[in-house]
Amino acid sequence: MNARFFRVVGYLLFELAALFALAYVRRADVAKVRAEHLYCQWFHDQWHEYEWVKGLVAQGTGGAPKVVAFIGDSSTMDLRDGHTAEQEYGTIARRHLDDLGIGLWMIRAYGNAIDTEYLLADQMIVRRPQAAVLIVNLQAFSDRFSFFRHPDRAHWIALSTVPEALWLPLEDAGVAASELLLGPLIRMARLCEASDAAGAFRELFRARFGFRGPDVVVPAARVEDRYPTALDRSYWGVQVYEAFVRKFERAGIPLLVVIQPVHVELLKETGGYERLGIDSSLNLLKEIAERHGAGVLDLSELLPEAQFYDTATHFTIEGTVAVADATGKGLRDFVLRRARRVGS
Amino acid sequence: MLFNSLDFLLFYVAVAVSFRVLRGVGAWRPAKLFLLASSYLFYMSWNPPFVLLLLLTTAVDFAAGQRIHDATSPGAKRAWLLLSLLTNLGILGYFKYARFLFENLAWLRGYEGPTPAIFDVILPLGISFHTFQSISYTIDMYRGGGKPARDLLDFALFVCFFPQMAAGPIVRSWDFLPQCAAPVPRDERYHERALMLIMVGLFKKVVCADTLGEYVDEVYADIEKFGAANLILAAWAYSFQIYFDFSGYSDMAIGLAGLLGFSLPQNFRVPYCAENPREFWQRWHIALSTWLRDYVYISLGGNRGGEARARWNVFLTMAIGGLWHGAAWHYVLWGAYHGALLVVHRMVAARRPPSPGPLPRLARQFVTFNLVALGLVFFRAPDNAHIVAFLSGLVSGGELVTSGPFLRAILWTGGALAVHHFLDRQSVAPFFLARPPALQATAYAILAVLVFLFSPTSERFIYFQF
Repeated sequence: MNARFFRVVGYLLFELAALFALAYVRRADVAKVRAEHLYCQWFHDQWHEYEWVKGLVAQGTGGAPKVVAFIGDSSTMDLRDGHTAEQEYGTIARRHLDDLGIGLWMIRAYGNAIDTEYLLADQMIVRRPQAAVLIVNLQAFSDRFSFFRHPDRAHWIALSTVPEALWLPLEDAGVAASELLLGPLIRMARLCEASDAAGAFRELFRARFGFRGPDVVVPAARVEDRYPTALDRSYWGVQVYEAFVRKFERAGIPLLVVIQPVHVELLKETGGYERLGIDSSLNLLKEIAERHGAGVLDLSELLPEAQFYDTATHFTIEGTVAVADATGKGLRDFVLRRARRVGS
Repeated sequence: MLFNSLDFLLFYVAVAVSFRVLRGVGAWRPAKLFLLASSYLFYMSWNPPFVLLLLLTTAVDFAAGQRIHDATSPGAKRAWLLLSLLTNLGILGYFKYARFLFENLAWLRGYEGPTPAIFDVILPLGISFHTFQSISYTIDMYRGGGKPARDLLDFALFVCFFPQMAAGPIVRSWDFLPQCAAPVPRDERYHERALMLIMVGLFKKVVCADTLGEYVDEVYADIEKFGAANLILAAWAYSFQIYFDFSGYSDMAIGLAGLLGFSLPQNFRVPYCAENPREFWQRWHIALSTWLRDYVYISLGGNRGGEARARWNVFLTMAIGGLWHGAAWHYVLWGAYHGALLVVHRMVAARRPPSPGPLPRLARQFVTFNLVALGLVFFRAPDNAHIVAFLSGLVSGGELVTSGPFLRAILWTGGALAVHHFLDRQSVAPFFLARPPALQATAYAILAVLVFLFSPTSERFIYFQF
């Protein structure tokens, strides 16, 4: 071995040490890591939901199964403790389709950001269900609700298995391609919770793309902060929503858009209902759905405030039963109506 | 210990530094002894008791080699060769093929009971490689090719030299034993080249092979779900996955041996640029294909019995080569498929004068690549039902299913094809090795970061199972 070989090795060790040192220096302090974790945990959950879709993919694409594909959010997930089996959203909704011999494929993802739904569209369409249901939560159409602007979200999208993820407005979210490339390395360092250098290096060696950290308590939010102000077509979420509906129209799969209950009572009390232009926002979403041939089931005024249990779109047990029942009935009517139309 | 693990990195650095120090102070024999002990330690990290098999093979073949060389009567030579073959093939046959044989006999006899415990054995690491290597030595002695090893230490190192014992390249005694006799001086770029091979090999395995494997696994998990275009892409992707996996391992083995001062033979030469099946085997797993030629094809009679006999020998050699890869019919099918390709090529070549032929070079390469990729369906499919599903999917059309791994497979396969063809025309190594040390180190640092980022998905080397 000559001197030149040792120089190559020496430079390599030096550069690797410098890279690791840089990664170590760039790691955030624990408080920042905890704050970051709020986002990371959320992406992690989304990813797990998405893993669920892979299970669906494994069922194959053949035929036109007698099922309705259902894409819901946390409002359909029975989050409130104490539901009996008979009070579960899925059980109630399915009951209305039983005598038609039609099943329900339910995918429910936390957050229900509209781009998440868009990612699921292709997975649904390729399986040719009898119909599809899209739960539309007005709260999803706000940047506050969606964490899309966070680079990690873009990274999650990059990992997704649906090519259309590439069409999402990454640039609008302020995400550069370089962030997608370097993101994993930087995040690995930033999420490192080691308190000393040795621990940091150990973490770096062990680090995988998983997320870890303490549970984070989501701060309470005022109800008005959760709703968008007078949506219009220029908003990226509306554009993605329209693209979603259009996809089903083009695929010839009947789609029922279900507008989830809004905190109408509370918003009217505070004056937020008019101030935020809730009516116009809802009308826009309905109009888009109808223009692309989708059915609309408007449940926005279905629940009194007492049947919400937080300022997000989460219901009490009574609220869940009411919403699931109304959705099941509406879905049954929709399926029968569309079936007749096809038959005629 | 996998080459792409932190355990191996620490092991190798400790071994290499100690070995170089011992060698540097002139203690060549202690250095070799240390290397041999390290090799046994490496082997035992998988399954310690199996080292006894290695010791048995080493002892029998060492003794047989000397006796064959020294014997004066042909009968004695044959007897010692027979002992060596029975020992090696007996071990290989029992550990690798006994269960396969039992299952096939059970199927023929309609037996549906449990497999007896005697057939339920673990396959020792690298058994196919070091057995073939050892057999080649005694056959060479029998054929009068070279001098026998007189030093048991050298011979033991030849059998179980850790950089290549698990998955080759298969080395020949006449190539390796002289390197054990005394340290071989190397040219000034030798160790830099070795380091480059290690880094490139690691990159091929961890980044390229495992990324492509993601899509291949997705398709093979549920073949019926995918359309013909998906299946074609999966076949191409698997061709490159196995190439990157195995050639990556070979590069690392050659590089790791190189840093210790040993030279191992080249195992791959941009194989997907081959213009016909024969040329493919001159570029793919060269160590095995030359071994099969020298010890199976020639032993079967080679081309000495006329053209028809030669064709049969080619076919049989390749079928045996397929069986060498694994005790399953789909491997035999794969080998037979390549045997058939070689026979057809031989027939076509015999009728046509040597000329470039009607197809342009790129088209010939493309046809050969696709024939090889199709053959690898037999290799990758876990059983015959999957092969049938894949082949019928190829002709039945079906819907194109897109996914993230699908897009990545297109990008990586396309990129790999382009780089492959570039490397066929232009060798990058001399240019790279002429760059300043700092620049080389930067390239390695980039590769190391990529390996680090991709490492969570990396799996075992495909060829370790053989």
